[in-house]
Amino acid sequence: MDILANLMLGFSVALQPINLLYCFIGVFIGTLIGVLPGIGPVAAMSLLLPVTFNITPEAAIIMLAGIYYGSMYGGSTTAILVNIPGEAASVVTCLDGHQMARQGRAGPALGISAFGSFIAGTLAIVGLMLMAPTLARWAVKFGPAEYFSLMVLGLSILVYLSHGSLIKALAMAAVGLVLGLIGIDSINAMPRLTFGKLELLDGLGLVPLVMGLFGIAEILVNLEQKIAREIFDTRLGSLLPTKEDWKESAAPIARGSLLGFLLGILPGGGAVLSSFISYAVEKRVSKTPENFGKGAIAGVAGPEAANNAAAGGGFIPLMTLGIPPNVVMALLLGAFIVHGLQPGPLLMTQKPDLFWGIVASMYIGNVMLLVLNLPLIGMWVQVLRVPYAILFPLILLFCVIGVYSVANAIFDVYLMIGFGVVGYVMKKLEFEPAPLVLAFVLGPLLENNLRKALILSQGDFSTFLSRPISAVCLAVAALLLLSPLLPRLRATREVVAKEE
Amino acid sequence: MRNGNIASGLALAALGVFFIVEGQDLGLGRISDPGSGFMMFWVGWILMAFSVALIVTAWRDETRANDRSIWAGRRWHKAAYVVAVMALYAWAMPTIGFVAATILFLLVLFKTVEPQSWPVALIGSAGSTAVAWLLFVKALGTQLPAGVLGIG
Repeated sequence: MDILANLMLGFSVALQPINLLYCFIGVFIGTLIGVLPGIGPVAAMSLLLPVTFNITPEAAIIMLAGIYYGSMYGGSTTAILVNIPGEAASVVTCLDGHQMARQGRAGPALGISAFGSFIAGTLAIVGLMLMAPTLARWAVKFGPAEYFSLMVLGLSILVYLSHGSLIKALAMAAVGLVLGLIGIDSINAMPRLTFGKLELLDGLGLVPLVMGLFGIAEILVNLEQKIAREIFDTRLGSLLPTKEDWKESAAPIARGSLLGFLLGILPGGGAVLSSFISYAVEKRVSKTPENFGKGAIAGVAGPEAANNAAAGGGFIPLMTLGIPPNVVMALLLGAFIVHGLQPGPLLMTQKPDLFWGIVASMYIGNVMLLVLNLPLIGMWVQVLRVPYAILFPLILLFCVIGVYSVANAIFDVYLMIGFGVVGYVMKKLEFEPAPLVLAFVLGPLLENNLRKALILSQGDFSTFLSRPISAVCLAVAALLLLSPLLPRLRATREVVAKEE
Repeated sequence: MRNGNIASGLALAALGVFFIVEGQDLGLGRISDPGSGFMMFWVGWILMAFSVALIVTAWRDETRANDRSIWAGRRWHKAAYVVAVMALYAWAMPTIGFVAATILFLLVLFKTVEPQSWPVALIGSAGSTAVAWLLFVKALGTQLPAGVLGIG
């Protein structure tokens, strides 16, 4: 009953005209950047973070969240029509979605992707509503040792699930941890790694770092390879899937929703991984696995549902524990902090209108996306026809404006360019930026909790092992990080990385 | 990639040493009251360990000894050129202002990276600057450098 009353409170916030407007702007921009290859939700959210400084925290978070789940919808359009994933979570949609388009079934492919996303997004919100209060009550009992160990576990899972070399991912996490420490030490006010620069006293900005490593680096990599875009010139026909399509898609959507939601909660899981695993599951349970890769509608419905459910599930650790499970949520954490809010177990009791307003807005946003996507697919196709040579200078321009306007500092623009070059070299050397960024965000929290735990225990390291939750987190983290030494676990990780 | 991995391993090792030295300078404190440099110092050692592992793994990977360079066959000079143009743009913006610097920045990129016709480049750069200015400065109240032209 409590949940119902809270949800009504949430809708009263989300349905305020100004919040509806920002929700619409969020999902619209999200769909647009999902459609456009070369700029993902992370870069777009960083770009718009400064724009939110002048609006209420509710409207800001509602808009930024809308960009995230909106991009999940938009990414499928590019994957199906152009065979280029608009963002990473849509990579598997290319396999069967584009084949369906080639067989003249682009309409049902886009349709089932939109409906599947809507159903999964809605189910994820229901899950969030049911799980978040319980988890928040439990999390109130967490002390510094538990927080420290949970963050170590989060980073370990992200590193374990990253593509390719485990050593490289670990090294990136280590670098990110130290980058996060730059600036004034919050415990004894000592400046660290500031090199006498006033601009660094507040630490490195999250926006220049993320825009450089994700936005600028992506553009630089795209510039050195010619992207062949073949937009499939066909009549879309009816976007409504047939009865037969629904029959084939219902179970994959249900499985994808559950899988995506659970993987979304896990630190490091997220939308990309869940879409790949959903595809693998659907192929395995299918009576006709030979049709996968040749236009099987289940190969579109399952992964699209999974990536949207994961987008919803990712809000749980952020909202209840204050720990972002992935880079997108790390950016949202940044947005909360900018607005003077600390997500965590107390958010629900101290700011129920904000928490439930965001939850309700996600439901409204999902309805908007369904209404927005089906009629506007023709417009998104036209957007795709803009040549990259015209598009990339404009993306660079928006990156510069976005970074500059955070603190009106040209220094941040130089930082972004510098991180862009670093990100470009990292991509070429197969180093992933995600562990670095998550560690950068978690670094100060991790250090703070480590130092507090040691002060409280008077320097007794066994505090991390004598507290059950902390001990379990550290044991799982150790198991994951030592997995390369265990042949069976190594094989599992290699399969996951290969499927990605 | 083998050489790339060895080079990146060496760079990370150097970074690790830097963190260790900086951490020590900042002060390690006591275990019961860790200092400002405590975490940086230990993360530096951990990074050193990873970089050594990376170098050793790459060194022993004979199969990739003859891999092509990561720069071979790529148009990396385009990326380098765009970085240089962006740096110039950032340098010029506070002096000549957002509007003038942006028109020039876009014009140069439109005309030189994948050359567009003059009408497309001119209309594209002036039009996009105008839209960005109206959207960010006028509608959203963002402060951008006015420069000598006084528009910002």
